[in-house]
Amino acid sequence: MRGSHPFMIALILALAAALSAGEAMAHGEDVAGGFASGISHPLLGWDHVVAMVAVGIWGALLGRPALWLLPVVFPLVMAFGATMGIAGLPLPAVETGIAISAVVLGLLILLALRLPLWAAGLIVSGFAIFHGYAHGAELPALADPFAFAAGFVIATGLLHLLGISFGLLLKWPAGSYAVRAGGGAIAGTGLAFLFGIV
Amino acid sequence: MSEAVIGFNLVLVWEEFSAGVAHPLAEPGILLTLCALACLVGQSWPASSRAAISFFAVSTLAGVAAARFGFPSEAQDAGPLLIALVAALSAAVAPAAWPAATAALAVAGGFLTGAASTPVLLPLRVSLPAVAGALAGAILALALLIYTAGRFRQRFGGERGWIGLRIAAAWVAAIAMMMLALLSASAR
Repeated sequence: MRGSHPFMIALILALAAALSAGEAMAHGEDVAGGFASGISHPLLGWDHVVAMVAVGIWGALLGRPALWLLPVVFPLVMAFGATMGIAGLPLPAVETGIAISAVVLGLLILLALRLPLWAAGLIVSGFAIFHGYAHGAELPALADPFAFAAGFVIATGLLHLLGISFGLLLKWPAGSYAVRAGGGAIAGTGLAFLFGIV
Repeated sequence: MSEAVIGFNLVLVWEEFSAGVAHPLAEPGILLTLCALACLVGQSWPASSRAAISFFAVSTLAGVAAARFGFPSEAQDAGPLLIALVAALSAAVAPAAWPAATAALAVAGGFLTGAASTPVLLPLRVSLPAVAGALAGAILALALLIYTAGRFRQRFGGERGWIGLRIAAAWVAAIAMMMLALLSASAR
């Protein structure tokens, strides 16, 4: 495990760079399509970002098999939601659902709730549909399908990895407080989006 | 025919063959199919890998023949993506549950890879080097990917390697699903 620390640091630095690039692109010129568009899409909204990180943290909190099962379930159901959005199928209160996902997942982490695996899977799957739908519905029409989809899924997976890495701090008592405080911050971010404060 | 002309033709044939070898890596549907099959077969590596690669290789020839005899070109676009989706879902959800299904997916993947690697507007005599290169590239890439997946599973121990392959398979399935949706939307 000792050798994994440089990898984690590199991952976090790469993600930070990707996040800042995503923010820059959001306010800059249009992202035409392709990999850059796909990888930046999940990173452009903080409600998306915190919810996806929360999935990883909660998976780490629940331990095996949720640790790996949630990151398997989330992209699959999210892609299904994206398919619904691309097809133009109706789904009500998408943005509200995304904000609620951050609130609920943040609270689950803050309270360190360990739900049964089936319940955790259901909660994460339900929220993944909203996240996928929002991205699918907003998809640039000219996006290169492969590059966009690959970038989109990779960015989501990296956010989960970031959450899992942060959640591994639970091994230490002080880390446990940090993780639960992170859950509180995620819930707070979700509430801010829910009530239109940001 | 002079030696210079023969030499020129050999160079041309080699260039077309080389371009064909790279074709599976440049064709997203085929690439995803290969990755999905590798995630599926790699979980039981080396037990079923030889059979899966053999099934795949023989089926590519059937795919070439089918493309020459009018296999619909629409299926050549969406077909590999569909196989990639099913194979990756199998690898993520229930790997090694049904060995017969793995064999069937290798056959279907090989068939559609062969069909999608065959240009129908050119005579086969002209496009043969490129087609042969594409088939060789696909079979070689599948073998390498399965080997990599199998070694990855061994290197990281039973459970951790198995989990890594299932997460990779979930990513491949998600990409294939979104690509199918985008293709369907662009066709409308």
